[in-house]
Amino acid sequence: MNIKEKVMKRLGFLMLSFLLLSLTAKMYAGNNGEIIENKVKEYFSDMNAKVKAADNPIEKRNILNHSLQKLNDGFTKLESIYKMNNNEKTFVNSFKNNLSEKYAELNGLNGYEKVKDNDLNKFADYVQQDMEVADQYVTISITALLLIAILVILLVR
Amino acid sequence: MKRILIILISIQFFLLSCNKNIVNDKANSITGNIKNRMFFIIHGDGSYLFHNQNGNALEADQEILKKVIYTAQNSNNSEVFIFHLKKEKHFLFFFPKKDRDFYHFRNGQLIAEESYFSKGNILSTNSEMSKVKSEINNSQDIIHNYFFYYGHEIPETDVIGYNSSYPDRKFNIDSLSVLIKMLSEVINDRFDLITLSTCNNGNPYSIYKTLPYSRFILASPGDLHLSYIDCRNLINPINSSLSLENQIIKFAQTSFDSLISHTNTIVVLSLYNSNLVFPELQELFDNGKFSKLAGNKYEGFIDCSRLSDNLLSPQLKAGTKVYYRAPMFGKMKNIKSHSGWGCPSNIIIR
Repeated sequence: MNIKEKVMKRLGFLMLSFLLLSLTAKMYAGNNGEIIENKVKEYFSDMNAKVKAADNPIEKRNILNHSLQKLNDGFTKLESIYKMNNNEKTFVNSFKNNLSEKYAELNGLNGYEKVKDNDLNKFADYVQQDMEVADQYVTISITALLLIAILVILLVR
Repeated sequence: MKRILIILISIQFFLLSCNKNIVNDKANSITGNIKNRMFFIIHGDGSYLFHNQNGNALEADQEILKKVIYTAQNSNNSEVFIFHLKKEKHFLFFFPKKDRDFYHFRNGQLIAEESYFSKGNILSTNSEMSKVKSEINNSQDIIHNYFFYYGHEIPETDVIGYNSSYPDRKFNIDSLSVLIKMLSEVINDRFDLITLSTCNNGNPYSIYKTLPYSRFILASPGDLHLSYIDCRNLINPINSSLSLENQIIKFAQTSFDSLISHTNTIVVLSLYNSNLVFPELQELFDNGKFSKLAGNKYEGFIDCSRLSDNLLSPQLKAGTKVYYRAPMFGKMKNIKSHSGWGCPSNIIIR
C-alpha cells in the first residue's frame, strides 16, 4: 500500500467516524430534556425507596432533608456557573421554590405544620408523585439542560 | 462496498414500506350492533417515566395503551380507534422507525393494526383522518361517541419541546381542536364526551376551544398525576341502562375514586356541561372579558375563584361538576373546595 492509498484510507475512516458521530449526536439532541427529567424522577424514586427502607423516623427525615437540600444546592451551583435567560431563571426559581417548600414543611418552618413521624412514608410518596407530575421542563434550552444533567448526575449523586 | 449499499437501501425500503396488518379476515362482517365509538390519542413522545411502588421504571403512555386496549377488547357494541404517538427510534443508528401506531377494534376484536410515520406535525391530522375515514363503520345505530386525549398539558400557545423527538414541532389546544372538529364532521355529530387526560386543561380557553364539539368534557384544572384518567372505568357505564349524563357522571366519579386511591397529591377533575357552559364562555371571550390566557407557563395555574370572586358566573358554576380532594401535604392541604376552573396566575381580567 503506497502513501497515497494510506492517506485516502485514513481520510475515509475519519469521514466515516465523523458521519457516525454526527448522526449519533443528532439522534440524541432532541432527548436532552427527557433525559434530565427522567434523572430527576429516578432521583426521587431512589429517595422514596430509601425512606421506606429506613428503620426509624430520624433516619427517614434525614434522607428526605438530605435529598431535598442536595438537589437545591445543585441548582444553586448551576446559577453560579451559567448565565441563564429569563425563561430559564423562572424555571430554576420555580423548581427551587418547590424544593424549599417541601423542605420547610418537612421541618415545620415558614408556618408549616411539621410532617409527623408516622407520615414520613406518605410524604416521600407525595414528593415523588409531585415530581412525576411536574410538567415544566419542556421549554428549557438544551444548554441549560445539559448543565442541569451534569449537576444532577455528577454533583448530586 | 456496492453490496453493503444495496443491503442498506433494501433495509430502508423494507422499513419504509407500508405494513398495515389486517389481523382479522372477518373484519368486514364485524359490523353488527355498534352503539358506541371511541377515539384515543395517546401522546408518548415525551417524558412519561414513572416508578411504581417497587421502584420499577415504567412509561405512563405504555401503561395507558394497555388499559386502552383492554377497554377496546371489553367494550361490546363498540368501535375503537387508537393512535399512539411514540418517540422517534432508529434501526441500526441510521434508519428512522415508524413512530405512530394505529389500532382499530370493532366489537372487542382487533381488525386492523398499522405503523406509520408522523409527517411534520405532532398530530399529522391528514394521516390520522385518512385512517379513520377509510376504516369507520358508518352505521346509523351509533348512539354515543367518545374522544380521549392522554398526554402532557396541551399549551394554549405554541410551545416548542412538546415532542421530545421533534422539539421544534409546535402544538397547542387550537391544533387539537382542529382534529376534534374534523372527527366530529366524520361522525356527523358532536361527541358525547371529550376527556382531556392532561394537567391544567380544565381552563377557560381550552374548554372554550373544545366544547363546541362535545356535550360534556372531563378535564383537570390542576395537576393530574401521570395524566391518568382510567378509561376502563367507562366499560361498565356504557354497558348499563343509565342515561348518557348518568353514564358520564359515573365514569367521572369512578375515575376520581381510582385517582385518589393511589395518590397523595391534589386531585381535581371537572365535568363541563356544554349546554350550560359554552354560551357563557362564548360571551366572555367575545366580549373580551377573558383573553387568550397566554403567559409564562412556569407561573402555574391556580383555582380561578382565587383570582377574583366574580370571575366565574353562576351559569359557569352550574354547568361544572367538580370532583376535588386536597393534597395530603403542601400549601393547599387545608383548602376544602375548588371551583373546577384553572387559570394561569398571570391571567388578564378586564
